[in-house]
Amino acid sequence: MVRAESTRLIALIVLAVIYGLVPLVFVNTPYVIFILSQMAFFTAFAYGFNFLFGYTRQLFLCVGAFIGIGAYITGISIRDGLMGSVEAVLLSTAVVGAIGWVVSYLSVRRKLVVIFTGIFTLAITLVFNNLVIGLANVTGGETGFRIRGVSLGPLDALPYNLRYYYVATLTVLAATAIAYYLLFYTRTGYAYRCITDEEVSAELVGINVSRVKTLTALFSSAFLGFTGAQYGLFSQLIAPSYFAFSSLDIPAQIIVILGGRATLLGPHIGSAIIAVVNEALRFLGPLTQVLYGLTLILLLAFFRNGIADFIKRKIFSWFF
Amino acid sequence: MDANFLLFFLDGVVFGLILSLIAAGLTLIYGLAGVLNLAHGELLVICTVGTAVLLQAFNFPLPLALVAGILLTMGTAAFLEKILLRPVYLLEGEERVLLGLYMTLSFSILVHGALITSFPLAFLTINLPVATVDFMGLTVRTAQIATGVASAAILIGVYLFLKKTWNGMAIRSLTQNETGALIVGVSVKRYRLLVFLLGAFLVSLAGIIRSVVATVAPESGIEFTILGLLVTVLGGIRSVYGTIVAGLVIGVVYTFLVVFIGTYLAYVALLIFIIILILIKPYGIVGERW
Repeated sequence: MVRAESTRLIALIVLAVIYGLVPLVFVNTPYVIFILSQMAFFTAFAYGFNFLFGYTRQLFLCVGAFIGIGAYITGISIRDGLMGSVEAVLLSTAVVGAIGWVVSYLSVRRKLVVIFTGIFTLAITLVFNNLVIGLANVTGGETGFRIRGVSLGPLDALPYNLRYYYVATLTVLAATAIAYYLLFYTRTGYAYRCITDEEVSAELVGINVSRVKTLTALFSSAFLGFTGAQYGLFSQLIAPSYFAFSSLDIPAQIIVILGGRATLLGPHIGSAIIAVVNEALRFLGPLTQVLYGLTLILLLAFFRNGIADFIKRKIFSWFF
Repeated sequence: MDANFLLFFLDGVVFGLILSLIAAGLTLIYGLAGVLNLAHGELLVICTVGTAVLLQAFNFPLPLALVAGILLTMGTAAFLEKILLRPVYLLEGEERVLLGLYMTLSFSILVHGALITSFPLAFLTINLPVATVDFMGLTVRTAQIATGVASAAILIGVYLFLKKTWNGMAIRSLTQNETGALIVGVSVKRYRLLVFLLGAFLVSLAGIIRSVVATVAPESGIEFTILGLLVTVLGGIRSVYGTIVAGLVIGVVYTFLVVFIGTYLAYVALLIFIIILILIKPYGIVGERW
């Protein structure tokens, strides 16, 4: 066990070093930095989805809507001067967390949770899109609205995209580290891993599965709201197409499944691969969605456990 | 009573019957195959887009185009069932449900992407020869009456098929007790395909009927999927009878919401209405257990 734990710690440190060093190589090409920031944000989104879907099997099909709610609340607050940026981000976090909790609570109350959650969250996606376009005088409708840049304190010295690269990276690294600690060093984490492996058995040995699920939904959704607010500040233009199902949910799902669901490193690996592939296939334009669908089908049929699992089984077994 | 009120109510009933047609297929497929088909709305659009393309680009006569559209949809459903869902059937329990959801979702992403890039303008509208008729002092659109009667007839047909015919009884027995049905010699594989074909047939008819009262756009598949799913949840996911009742309730409520608070906000109100109903009646409005 000692060995596995030290391996995990080393993996985490290596990850932090890679995240810290990569942008320094490309510091003179702003476009690459922009892609990297985008990648960091997508890793964060996939992280939230990974905890909902990977660990507790709650299929939330409203990742884009949650991120969008976070971004719109923050954006509107800043545009209309309702509150400072810090308060706005906190409010977004709280609101999205609350919505996620309600959805999870309603689903846990019923049996056949997976289906109910899927249907319900799809409906939330639909409602979000309709609401954004319907309340055009507040949200700017189809074209959205712009907000001015916000001061990020000491990070202001850096170029614009690099600032947000570090914001997103720090967020996602902090999430990884906290999740890593909670999962492997606490009793709750032990219970959590039980639920991931075998839900019925976990319930039989006396773990309160419903409570763990609703709490996971609360924290993961809050995390999505938090990163969504940051994403809104980063892109400065807040429009419905940014938060559509096809632009956020589908990539987040591919990242999680490709990287490996219910693993801590999976989203990082998946996100890096998807960022490169996405750049390489940019010429395809609108056909990208077809490719995404095809990728998902192939992954589900042949590579369901993801890269992280593949590495653990096929490569690390040589060392242990 | 206000004449407009009656007309809106009629609109709602017609829309509700169309939703029931979509949801009946979803319910049958879920009950028998254990797969919640998230590509169901896309199947509807495949039918309307196929028909529209044949009409516009190849000048097919309308009946031939409709038949071709339905056959295309059924073919797609067979492909989905026989090839794409093959890995799903190897799994059991919650894993199967999850992978089934995911596989069909991926397929619907694929189809949606392909349709809106290849045929962005393939809208389908079918106009009936006679526009309006006078009925008990009211001016009613012929389309409404025709579509309402047609959907109701199809739903009655489905009901009779399930109750009276051998195949229908086999489907019901598989839904209620798969092991028992297997023991008496009912083949799951065969009826899974049959149920997918039947679902595709019903959803194509729903698409065609919808295109008589409104225009069906190539990108509206996901919307039909979600509405169908909401009907399914509200009806109690294994009951076709519940599905029909729930479809009517949602159709009428949604139509009135659109009239009173507008298209966009209607969805929000509808979702809240459904949440409340589910909290009061957790096993669907006709109360059958899942």
